[in-house]
Amino acid sequence: MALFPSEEWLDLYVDRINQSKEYQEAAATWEGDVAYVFEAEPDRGVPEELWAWLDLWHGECREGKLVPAAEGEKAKFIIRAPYSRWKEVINKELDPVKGMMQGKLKLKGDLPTIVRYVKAANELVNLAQTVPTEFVDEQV
Amino acid sequence: MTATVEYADEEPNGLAAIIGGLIEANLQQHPEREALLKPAVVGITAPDVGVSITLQIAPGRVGIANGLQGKPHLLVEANSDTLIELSSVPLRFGLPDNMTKEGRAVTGSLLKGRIKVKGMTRHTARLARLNKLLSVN
Repeated sequence: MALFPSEEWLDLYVDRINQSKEYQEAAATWEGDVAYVFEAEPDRGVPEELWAWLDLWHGECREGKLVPAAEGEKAKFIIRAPYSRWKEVINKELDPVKGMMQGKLKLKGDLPTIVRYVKAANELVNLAQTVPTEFVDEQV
Repeated sequence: MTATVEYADEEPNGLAAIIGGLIEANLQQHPEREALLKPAVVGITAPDVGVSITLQIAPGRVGIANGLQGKPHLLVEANSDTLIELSSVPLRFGLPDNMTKEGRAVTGSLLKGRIKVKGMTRHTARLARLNKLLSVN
C-alpha cells in the first residue's frame, strides 16, 4: 500500500505501466513525456502543488518521478486537477474523458495526439486505479 | 496559420477547450484546412456530462461559445467518449468511411441513435467540412 501522492506511489504506478500488455499495445508508437499536476489542497493534506513526471516512450515508462514545477512544465502533455479530483479518478468515481469535457481535469498539449492515443490514455488511468493506494487525507 | 480560434467566454468549458484546441492544432499542422472555414453555425452537446458548445465558423475565424446558442445549421449530440472517437474516424469525402471498421461503427451509432446529427441531410457539405476540420487523421 502506497501513500498518494508520493514518490513510492509513483514507483508502483510505473511498475504497473511497464507490466501492462494493453498499454504496451495501445501506446506502441507514443513518444512524449506527461506531467500530472496534483494541485494543493492544504485542508486535505496536500499543502503544495506536486508535479509527477512520466517519461513515456513506445509503450514503456522509462522513468517516473516527482519533479519541481519548472521541470514539469517542459512536459509535452500536462494534466492538471486539484488533489481531490485525482482521488476521484483513482477511485473510479470520475471518468477522465468526462472530467476533461466538464473542465474538472485540464489538459495542455497537442490535442490531436491525445485524441489519436485516447485508448492509451485510458489505459494509463486504468493502471492508476490498480495501485494499492492510501490517500493522504485518509491516513490513520 | 492566419485563422484565429476565439472563445466567447472568459472560462471556456471543457468541451470548448478540447474542440478549440483540436481545431487550433489542426489549422496549425494543416494550413490547407483554412479553406474549410466557410460560414456555418454548429452546436455540439454531450448529454452524459451536460456540456454544450456553439461553433461560429467563418472565413479566417472560429468562434466558440459555451452552451447552445441561436439556431445552428448542425446539432451534433453524442456522449463524451463518442465525441472524442469521432475525431479519429477515417473519412471519405468528409464523411465516415464505411470501408473501414471505425467508419462502419460510426454509421452504426448514427443508425442506432447513439450519435444524433440534426441538419445532416440539409447541410451535408457543412457536416463534411466540420468533420475534416476536426479530424486528427
